[in-house]
Amino acid sequence: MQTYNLAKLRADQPNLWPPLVLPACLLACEAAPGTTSSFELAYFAPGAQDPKVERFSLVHAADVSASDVEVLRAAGHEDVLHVAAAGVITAILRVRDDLRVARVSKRGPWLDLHLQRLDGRADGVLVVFGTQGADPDGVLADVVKHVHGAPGGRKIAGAVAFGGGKAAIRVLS
Amino acid sequence: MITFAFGAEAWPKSLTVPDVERHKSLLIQEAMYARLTQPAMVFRTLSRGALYWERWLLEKDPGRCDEERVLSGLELARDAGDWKEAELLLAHCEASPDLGGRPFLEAWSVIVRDRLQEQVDNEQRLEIAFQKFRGAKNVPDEAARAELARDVMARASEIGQVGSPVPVNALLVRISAAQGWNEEAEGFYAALLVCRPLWIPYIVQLSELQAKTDLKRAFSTIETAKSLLGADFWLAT
Repeated sequence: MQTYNLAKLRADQPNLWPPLVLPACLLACEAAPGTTSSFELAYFAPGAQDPKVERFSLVHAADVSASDVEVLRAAGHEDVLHVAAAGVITAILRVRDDLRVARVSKRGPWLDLHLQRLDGRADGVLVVFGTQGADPDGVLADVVKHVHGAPGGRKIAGAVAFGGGKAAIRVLS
Repeated sequence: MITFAFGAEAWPKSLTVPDVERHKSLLIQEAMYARLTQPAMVFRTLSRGALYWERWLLEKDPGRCDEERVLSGLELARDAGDWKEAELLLAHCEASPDLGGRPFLEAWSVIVRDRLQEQVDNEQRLEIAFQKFRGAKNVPDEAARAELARDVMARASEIGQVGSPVPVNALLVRISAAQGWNEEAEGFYAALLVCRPLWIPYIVQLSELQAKTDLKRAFSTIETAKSLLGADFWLAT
């Protein structure tokens, strides 16, 4: 099982904004700072019908401000889940494929995360949604629809079911 | 560094494409955080800042990710309530051989046409409110004048919940500076610099305002501006 420490997010992915992502991850996972949350990832390679199942552990940052968490707790729950899902999936892709967020753009109400390899090569656009429940399948279908409309070549959809500890990534092209 | 609201920075580290990309990416996420947790005006201001840099990238780094930047810019214009900027983006597309005729342009043209008048109306309401304040400049009673200023600022802030943050913050800064409410004025200048970060008169006016109470901070603003814009940046005014 691979492990990723979310506190490394700023160094690894400076275009992600940890002050938002880290407390959102804590809230969505209903976890305490410094603890670990596990995710079972269903990874659909391009054209694949069946996923490869892998396990990942994410260690939450220890120094997340309690006030940031409280502020987010009062915010729109669905939006917080989407932000947390972005943190989870980008952390998994960082440890799994050495991909990181190169830049962020806006499309519809959501964010497009543009990925690059560590050597600087562009590697597609990622859209991620989060949900509360046991299964990310339904959400993944929504993300696939949304990411299809993104400009650019390689497209990646991600979904996370918080509570169920399940994540899914579908590489579309 | 000039900071706004919960520490969001107005300027990138440098005016290079990678630093501006990073800054814009952060502003987009900070706007999302603001939408969840802050008054609408903060969300609109940060969205307007991200839009500024999206347009800067279109101009300074042409031919790369143009469609992505235009789509992102249009969404940010919607979030900022700045339909005039959306119109400029559409004009950019119409003049571009690569972007002209794309299906999204027609849909956005309809949205912009429907919403632009609202922005014009809001700006007229702001101007009328400001004229009311100016008309009272000879009112000898300071308390009455302050009350009127607060009343006009409250109306501007209401418009700031739904409209572009640029004219709203511009009005708020004029009134608060005229009243000598320096701390508030400084906050509104910071908001204006998020929205229009390279508009040199704002930088100069902000440092002049800071100099009234804290010379060190005024110098710091000038020095940061010099490092971003060059040693003689104020000559561009």
